[in-house]
Amino acid sequence: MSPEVWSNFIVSLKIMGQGMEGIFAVILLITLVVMALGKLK
Amino acid sequence: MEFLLNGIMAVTGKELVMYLVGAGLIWLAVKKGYEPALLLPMGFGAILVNLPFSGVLNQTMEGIGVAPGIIQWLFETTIAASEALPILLFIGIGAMIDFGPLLSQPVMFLFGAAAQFGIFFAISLATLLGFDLKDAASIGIIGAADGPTSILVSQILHSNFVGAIAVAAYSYMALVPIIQPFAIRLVTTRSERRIPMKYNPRNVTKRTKILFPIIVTFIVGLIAPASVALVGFLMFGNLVRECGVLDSLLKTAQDELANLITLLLGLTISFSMRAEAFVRADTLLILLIGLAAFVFDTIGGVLFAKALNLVLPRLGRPKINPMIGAAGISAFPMSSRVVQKMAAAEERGNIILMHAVGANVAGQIASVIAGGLVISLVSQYLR
Repeated sequence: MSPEVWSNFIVSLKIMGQGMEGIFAVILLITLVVMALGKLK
Repeated sequence: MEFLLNGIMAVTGKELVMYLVGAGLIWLAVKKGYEPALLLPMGFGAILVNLPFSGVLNQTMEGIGVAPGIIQWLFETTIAASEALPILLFIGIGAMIDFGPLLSQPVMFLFGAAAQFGIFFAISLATLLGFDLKDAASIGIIGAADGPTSILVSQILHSNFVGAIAVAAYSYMALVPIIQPFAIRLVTTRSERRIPMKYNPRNVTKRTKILFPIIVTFIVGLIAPASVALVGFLMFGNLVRECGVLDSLLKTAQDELANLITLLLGLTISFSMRAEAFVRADTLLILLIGLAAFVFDTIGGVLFAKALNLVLPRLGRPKINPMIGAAGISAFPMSSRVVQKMAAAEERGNIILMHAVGANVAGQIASVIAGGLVISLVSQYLR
């Protein structure tokens, strides 16, 4: 495996971590807001 | 008479392969009914752009100069220059989606997030197979299970493989009924697939339905601004649907606008299916990585549901049928139908359709958010 491939792979793992974290953060926020909307009278 | 034979004599082996690819896509559309609205125009377009000296591409003619080609013009103006076609299509998609089943059980949003795992798995796999970061990210987005998002992201990232990515995205969306049952069975037991789920939806007010697209646009726009073109247009279409005062615009968005763009998008994207760009070993690799993306989307969603099942009983809550997690991809409504069909096959009378629909529409939002996040993250690492 060339150093460039290895370096891209490491970056892709970081993107995986940050990407999944980001999606869950945004989705969780939307979920909480929708739940709060449901409680509004 | 010799000039009449110029075209025939100029056909190359790669172009012959593309005629077969075009015919194959048309066959899948007509005979199998797989995503015909996209695969048929793409298949026909693949033939059009690969005819020697094709008039649908810009051609330099002796004594005349450059004669513009319509498909090249369409691609350069509506996709390369502005990404207008895939973005505008989201107005139509938003106008068609009823978020009611999701809003009535908001917890289903989480499955939409979990089922994007395949995108990131595929990005890593693509880098291991030697693709650079921009191409790997573009290939990974096939896992969004969302054709317009795949086209948009690969175009923004200037990928060299837009054609192969579009073909893979739309083909695998059509193959969800084959791919997902296989992946679900890999990570679930029969008893897990038989878990029943009660459906007790919360009442969703009209005010919630109207506020939802506005709030989502704000949240996503502020946290993941690169997603806002996609999410914003999707949510605008949904606002037109839910506001209740734009009936004629709603009808136009759902029918004429969506149909017109779909018709042109397939033909336009075929510009990236020219033989020299498409017939290469990398295309086969992209198709394989795309398949892995769909499989790992499904596995990611199912494993997330199984993880929740470790906690829910301790909180006094009933378990979730883990197949619901698989429905968190964007391929709507195929994925929810597949999950319901599997549940009913395992346990007669087991109806989990509305839960699956909730997760499925969550996947539509999560996939466009994922698209924006991938663009932001890749650009951050390429600085």
